[in-house]
Amino acid sequence: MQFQTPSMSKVLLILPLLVVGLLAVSAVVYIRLDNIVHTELYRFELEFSSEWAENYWANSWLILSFLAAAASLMLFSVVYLLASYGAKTAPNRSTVVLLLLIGACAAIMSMVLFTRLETIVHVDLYQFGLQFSEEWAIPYWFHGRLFLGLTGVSVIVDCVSLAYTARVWPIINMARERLVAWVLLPTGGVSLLLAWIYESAISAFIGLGFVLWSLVLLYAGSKRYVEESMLATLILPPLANLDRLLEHLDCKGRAIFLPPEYLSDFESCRAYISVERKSDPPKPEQIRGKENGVLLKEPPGVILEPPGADLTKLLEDRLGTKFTRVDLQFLQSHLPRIFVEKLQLAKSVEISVEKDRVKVAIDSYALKDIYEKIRGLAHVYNQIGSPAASAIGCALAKSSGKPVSIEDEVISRAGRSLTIEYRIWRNVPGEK
Amino acid sequence: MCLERNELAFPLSLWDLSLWLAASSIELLVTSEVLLELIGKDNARLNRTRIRNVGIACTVLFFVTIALRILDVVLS
Repeated sequence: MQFQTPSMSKVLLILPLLVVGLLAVSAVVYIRLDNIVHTELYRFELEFSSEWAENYWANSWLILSFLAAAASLMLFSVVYLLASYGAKTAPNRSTVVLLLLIGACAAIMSMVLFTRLETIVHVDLYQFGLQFSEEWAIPYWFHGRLFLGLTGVSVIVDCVSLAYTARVWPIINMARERLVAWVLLPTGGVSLLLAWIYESAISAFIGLGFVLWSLVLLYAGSKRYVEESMLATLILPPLANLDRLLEHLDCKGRAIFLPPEYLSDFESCRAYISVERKSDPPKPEQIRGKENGVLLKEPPGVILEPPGADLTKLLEDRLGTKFTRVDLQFLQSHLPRIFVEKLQLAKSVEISVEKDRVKVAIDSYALKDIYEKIRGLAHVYNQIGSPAASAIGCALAKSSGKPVSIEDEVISRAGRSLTIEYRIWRNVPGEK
Repeated sequence: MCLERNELAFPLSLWDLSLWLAASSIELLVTSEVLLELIGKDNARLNRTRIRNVGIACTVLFFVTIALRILDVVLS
């Protein structure tokens, strides 16, 4: 079998190399300019003093370091691309973008530091006896402008290669919030550096804000989200099969969610659906030990794992306890918080308990499109209820310790609000 | 002859950072509450609980800066 090798982008190799070349020439120009300061200027009565020299050397060292860092990052991006192509694997877009971006920032920093160095030469050195003369000023200006020009061009070429990277790997694939975060983060970093250099409080506030919000976007948007339409393709086929099964078995009753007393495994969730349209819940001994089967002879019906069984387990996980260990009051006060805060499934959830009736009002239900599709499955919707309704039914059965059935499920406000009414069978007919 | 040294210094004081933390924590907490309105709507991909956690963290940091200031006043 032959695998397709990712095609090598020559432009992405050539442009960073061009940047390296430009930065190398910039460094040479800068060294020549440094020579002018350290040799020519003494002929024009400049006196050496550590007071100006230390500042000058610190800036000079930083300029060369930033140039070297920018060139190294460009070279590293080229080596990374070549290594990826050599290993016949697709290079990681984020790595390449990050290398090019930091490289551009380093080059910009060297330009910013050069302007500080110019201040030392054109302001401070006159205090140490330097006399102005075109003899030294013209070559100094020429080399200075050449340095700024070459570094500026290298930044532009770097930006072009960044734009080309976005073209080779379409940036549209990246989630919007992550894209915004990755733009904000380096911008904030540069702003903080500028604040540090120019001692600008405004720039510092802008930088801090950008960095904070980029980190918030990366942290708060890092969960994997699946589009609702995609989720529907995964949920609906098993429900459609269940719908056909109920139709085939001619079960007409409504699902009764069974409490732990009926089950060998207390933590599992099961629902009983009778053949008769109206029937009472079965007795625990009629179900216990048979809950893993599907068909039940006495009383006639089926035992199923309801569609919301896993959602019940997820609710338990988020709650940090089992529904079998809590009572209805606890459920009433804590379940809405899990629905709204932790799972973000609804804007608000209200649970009201009145004798053997429990009313659950869900406002702004997040999965309304899926809900609409489930409504099309008549047997599942009318007999077992939606996954959310059956999940709450299971939770109620576990916490009350009694069988629970859905009496009514009403949808309103263009499919955004749900009202589900449950019945808790406190007295099972025929039970002692 | 004295030359002013160009030492690099961060321009914000502890008080400035304290103010910034207070403003940021309010922004984040308000954002987390506003996101509640977006539940069930398209393009609401941010986890509001996490945003609120960052807001609470900023609030705690703000109180730490206040505590530092009080400590500074008491000790001096």
